[in-house]
Amino acid sequence: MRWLIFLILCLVTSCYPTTGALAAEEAPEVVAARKARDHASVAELQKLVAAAEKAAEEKQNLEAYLRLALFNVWLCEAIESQQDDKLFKQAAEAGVAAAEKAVALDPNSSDAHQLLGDLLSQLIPHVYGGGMRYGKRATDELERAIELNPKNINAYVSRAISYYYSPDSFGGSKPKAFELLQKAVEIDPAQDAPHIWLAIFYLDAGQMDNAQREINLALSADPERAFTQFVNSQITAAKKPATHKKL
Amino acid sequence: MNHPSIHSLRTLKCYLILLACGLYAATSWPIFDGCASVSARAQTSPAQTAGGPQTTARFDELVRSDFFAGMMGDEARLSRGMTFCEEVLAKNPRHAEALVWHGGGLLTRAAQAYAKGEQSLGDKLWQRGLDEMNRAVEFEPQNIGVKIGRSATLIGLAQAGWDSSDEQARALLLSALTDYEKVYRWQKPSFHELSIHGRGELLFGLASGWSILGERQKAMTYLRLIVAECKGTSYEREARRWLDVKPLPIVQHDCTGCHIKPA
Repeated sequence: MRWLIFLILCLVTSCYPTTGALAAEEAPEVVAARKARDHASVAELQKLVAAAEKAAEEKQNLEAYLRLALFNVWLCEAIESQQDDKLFKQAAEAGVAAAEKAVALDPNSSDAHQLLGDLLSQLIPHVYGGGMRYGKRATDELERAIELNPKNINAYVSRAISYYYSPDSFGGSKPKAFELLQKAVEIDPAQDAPHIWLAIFYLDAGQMDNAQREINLALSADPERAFTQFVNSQITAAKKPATHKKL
Repeated sequence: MNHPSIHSLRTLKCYLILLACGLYAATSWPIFDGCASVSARAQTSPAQTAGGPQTTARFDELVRSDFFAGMMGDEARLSRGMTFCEEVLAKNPRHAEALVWHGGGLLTRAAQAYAKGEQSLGDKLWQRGLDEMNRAVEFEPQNIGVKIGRSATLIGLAQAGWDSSDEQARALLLSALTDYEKVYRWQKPSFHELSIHGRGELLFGLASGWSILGERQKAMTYLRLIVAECKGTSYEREARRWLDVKPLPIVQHDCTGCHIKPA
């Protein structure tokens, strides 16, 4: 039974960044949710979140709450394309609540801590003083996720983002951010998330060739993901001096 | 597709920064450098003077190192700073500087509670901290140190996350910017004599705060002022970089360095 749960969890969490090859083995709602995320279909994701919420209330188990939190992460990504801060905040808060429940159900779940840390981080820009309210806790959750599972790619990605955007005097470190993303790539080069963020960081550093290489790798992993396409468009624009815009 | 997620994520730059940034800017303000040394442990509030700012005794020097160390995680020193302020406030509940620092300390304590997942306690401490800072400027509206301490903190908080539908936050930020502008007006005749740091942090606070409120023109005015007032410095270079971005996004500025002295 433990193995079965483990297998299910692996399937749910390994598809968080994107693994098209595994799609056939995933639950239909996970496949649908990823597709909705890729196409930035907020309405479709909202339906799937509502269904996942109902399932979590009924089942009251770790898997159901992990899925609910994950779908809210994806909903946040989809909402970003609409610039709806209010909706984004609602999705992030709902995701935090689901992830907190998952952590409570299994304090040793690396995925639960990763999702909680990731969602808290997403909430920060949408709450007055969000960095102070949620910053430390988000970092602690992500560190805990890595501690529990040193091969949790998503935890490395989320932690890398916080390293990158934190001032050095407050624990930030761009070299560490790159290091964590490289580590994630080493664990599984087929995941798109580490490549997307490497592309963003290289773009920020003005290293266009590296940025393009990384975004190409992300596109080959999942060509339909709207976020990847957006970053690709930013890289393309940045290559034209007159239209360069700082991200 | 318009996908602003990267811009949103940039606000993570202020991860954990808020308070230290705010009060740091306050205490590095050169007004303090020109003051006479404190004659006593500032047990009384300075008398108010009509029409202009007060240049108070250096209460900040008595507590700032402990508070900064506390904000960076040294609980013993935070407690020491808080206790000192509480002793001052026990004798004079209207001591504005003690209130503004104590309010900052409460915000730090709120952050500690949030970090432990104690949301309810965090919310209580958070509100108390803001209330104390608000009361401080009510008690001494002409006290430049109090104004800067509160404004810098509130602007720092906004840089560390912003909800445009939060009316309380909007009112707080607006009042902080109004006070910062007042400070700038007070200092304008001798602004060029202030340290680069004091000039740069004040003007960047204004540029950032107005950009958060969506007042791009005002934000650009202050960025141009930085270019003029901080020539040849990193502040000028940073301001120019922001001015090159069209349309102007939310201006994120990280203060540099901290005044933490050994206990």
